[in-house]
Amino acid sequence: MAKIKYISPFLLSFIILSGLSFTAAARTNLVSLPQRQHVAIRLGTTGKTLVQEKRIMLFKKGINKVDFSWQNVEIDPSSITLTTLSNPDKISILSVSYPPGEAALVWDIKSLANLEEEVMISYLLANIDGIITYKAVTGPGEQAIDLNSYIVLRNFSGENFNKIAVYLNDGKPFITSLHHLETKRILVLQKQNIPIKKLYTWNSLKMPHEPEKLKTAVGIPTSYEFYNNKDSGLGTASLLRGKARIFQRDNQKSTIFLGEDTAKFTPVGDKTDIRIGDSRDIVVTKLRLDTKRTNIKRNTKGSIQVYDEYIKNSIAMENLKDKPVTLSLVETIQGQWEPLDISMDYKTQDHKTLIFNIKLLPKEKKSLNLNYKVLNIFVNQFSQYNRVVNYN
Amino acid sequence: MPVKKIIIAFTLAMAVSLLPFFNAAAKIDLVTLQDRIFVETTIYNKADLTLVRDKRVLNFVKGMNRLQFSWANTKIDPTSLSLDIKENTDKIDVVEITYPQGTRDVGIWLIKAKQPCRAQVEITYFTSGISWESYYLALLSKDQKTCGLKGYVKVTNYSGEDYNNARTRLVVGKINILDKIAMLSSRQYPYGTPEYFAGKTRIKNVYEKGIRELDYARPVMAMALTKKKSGLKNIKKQGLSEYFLYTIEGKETIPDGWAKRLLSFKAENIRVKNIYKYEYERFGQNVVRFLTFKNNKENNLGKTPMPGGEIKVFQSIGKKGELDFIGADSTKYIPIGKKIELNLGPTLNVKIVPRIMAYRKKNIIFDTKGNMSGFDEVKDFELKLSNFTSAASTIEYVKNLRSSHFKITKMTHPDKFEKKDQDTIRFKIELPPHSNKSIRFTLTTLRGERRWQK
Repeated sequence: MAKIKYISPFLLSFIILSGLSFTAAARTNLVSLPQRQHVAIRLGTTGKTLVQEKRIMLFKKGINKVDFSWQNVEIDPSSITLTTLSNPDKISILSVSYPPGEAALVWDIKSLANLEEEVMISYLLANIDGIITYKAVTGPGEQAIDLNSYIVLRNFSGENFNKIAVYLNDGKPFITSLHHLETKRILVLQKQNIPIKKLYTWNSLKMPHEPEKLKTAVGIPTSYEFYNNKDSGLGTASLLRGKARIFQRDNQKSTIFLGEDTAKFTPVGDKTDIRIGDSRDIVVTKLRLDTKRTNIKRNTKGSIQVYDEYIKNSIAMENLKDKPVTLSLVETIQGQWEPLDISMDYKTQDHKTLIFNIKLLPKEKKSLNLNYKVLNIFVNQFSQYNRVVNYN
Repeated sequence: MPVKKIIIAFTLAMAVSLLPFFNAAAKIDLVTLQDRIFVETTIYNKADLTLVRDKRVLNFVKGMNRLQFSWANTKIDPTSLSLDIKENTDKIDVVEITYPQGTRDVGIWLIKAKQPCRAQVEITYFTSGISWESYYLALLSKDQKTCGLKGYVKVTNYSGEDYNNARTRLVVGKINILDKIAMLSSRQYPYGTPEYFAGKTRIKNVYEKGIRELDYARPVMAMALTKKKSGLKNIKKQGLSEYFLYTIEGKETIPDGWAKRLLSFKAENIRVKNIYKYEYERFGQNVVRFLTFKNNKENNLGKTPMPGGEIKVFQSIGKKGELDFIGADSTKYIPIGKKIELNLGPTLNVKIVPRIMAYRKKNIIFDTKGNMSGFDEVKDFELKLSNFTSAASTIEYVKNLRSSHFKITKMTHPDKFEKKDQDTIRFKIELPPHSNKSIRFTLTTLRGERRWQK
């Protein structure tokens, strides 16, 4: 099994006497690397994990050489640091050397006295990490979720950790063991009754406009939205990115699986949404009813240079469910445009994005007229300016 | 194929070797296997995903208890394993689950009990290899005005595991999943390996991928159908979120490799319409027959949506059960209240023949250099419609003009005309049995620069 190898004091001494030269007058000693007192790992997002080991070391007055070597594990050599904790004013690190052809380094440490010193050795270790997963359960009414968050520790580093403190982003550690080739899943967060909002979003850029013509039923993407804040019972730390699986309690004392999505990183105060699946009981159909060009300007050769366009659309929405829904309809209009007849209220998210939040009662049908004109549509070499290209 | 079983095992020796960090004073013991008291399978249509729920009663000793769960040769997703304590929840805590080194298809839960006790636990997980599909048989009446419909569900088990006496539930709906369960179950390591394995970037972490489940349920080569005819079972239907849950009455036993078919519903006197469509862009020069009806209460349907599946349509042609096979189609999911439209294929019993009876070019315009730059193309259309069937038929002629610059004039039947959208027109007309009709209209299409003239 792969492990971090420590050179025993006897072996180390042997190597030093045969290979190194130093004056007889200098007080030089080799310090053996004792057992770990405490190990902490802090999980990163780069695939490398910070390991911090506390050890008690005995330093003699004068120069001490501390040899740290490793085999069959991937330690980033430039990340290895040694910090003295007990008497930092009495101990100083003079240099760090990397012996050729070895996975090792040697610290030269000067001590002003014979000291028993607590030190922290830190390094980045590859092939060990933690990922986050979530499990959310909602009730029949879909008003709130009970959220469990798990850390999955994966150790393929080559090193066995019999007892480690694992630190997450909220600063609170938990103690566990983790051996090489072991994977472990641990519950780290459990919150109940987090209020959610159910969203149905139809985006005209992404959804088919005439679903009746398709062979398979088209569904409206459906998701749950919630906030990472105190009002929702969270708000103590960011929610890390991870796979979220959503379940719902039914009336048979059981649950069904609603769907899964990747929950994005959500800082405190921000909101997130998790897609569960598609609703095929809401149908949206968009038809382009008319397109007319006007105000056409030509060059002396008669070629069109610029024109305006009048566009008429009709969007039919139908709620086939037994419950009311709020449908979020997202429309995109590129370029310079003006509304002519838009029969429902909307918000503009930016110059081209309109968002309609439309309430549909059970079994209700509604129709939206979306008539507008697009001005100054260029042809030929300026046609790239018919949409905003540079947002900065 | 030998029967595969999921094992919840009592292995004392492994317990001692796998928990080095507990000090000698802590009591470590294993939970003994108890009888399963309940198992339930919830099978998802088209997602190759089944949620299995297994309830047992276990004895716990005070201190740390270890429960080993192994699933060799099955298709269980290890990332979905979950253990919930259902009784004495204040006394028992699930600390963690470990997937130990050097072993595949094994998970070990560490459970802490404050005192010796007995409690019901529920183990849930996802498995792949169990699927269900729906299909329908329709019987059209002799006059083609009504039909009877029977809906069936067929459950097939290729999971590698027998499910005996399981409450079986089927879910209709389109869930979002990131990774196929079959892939998750076959990985060497339960949660994969770190992104930067051995110093090189590996393939993307599976949680980075967003894979939408869009596969159509493939027809299954069942190894065996129902073993024997048992009595008709009720299927209870319940709406939950965006899904419908069908719960099969009682318990089912579906051994690995077997399939089972159940009647899902039966409805009579469904009012149907025969529509004959001509749309060159979709069907070429064929007239295609469509059978339509609504999934609503008036049709003795309308209680639940109809899941997608194949429908075979027969017609009664005699009093002694003689049938004619009319055609088959695959239907998509039909919500409550929506119309279902079955494409029964081309027919020769209804004819729609469009002809251009006259052709002209008008309003020819020229540019500043004297070159022709546009004109009006004028076609006089005649649609000859013939219904050779013995039932009244609705005939629909749809034309996509691929241009929004046109006019329709001189219509003989303006009340039957509709401009569907900016470049599509439609005529829809009822034809009595054994009758003919002609519809005429003039189509003027503006070409070239004529499109931009007022």
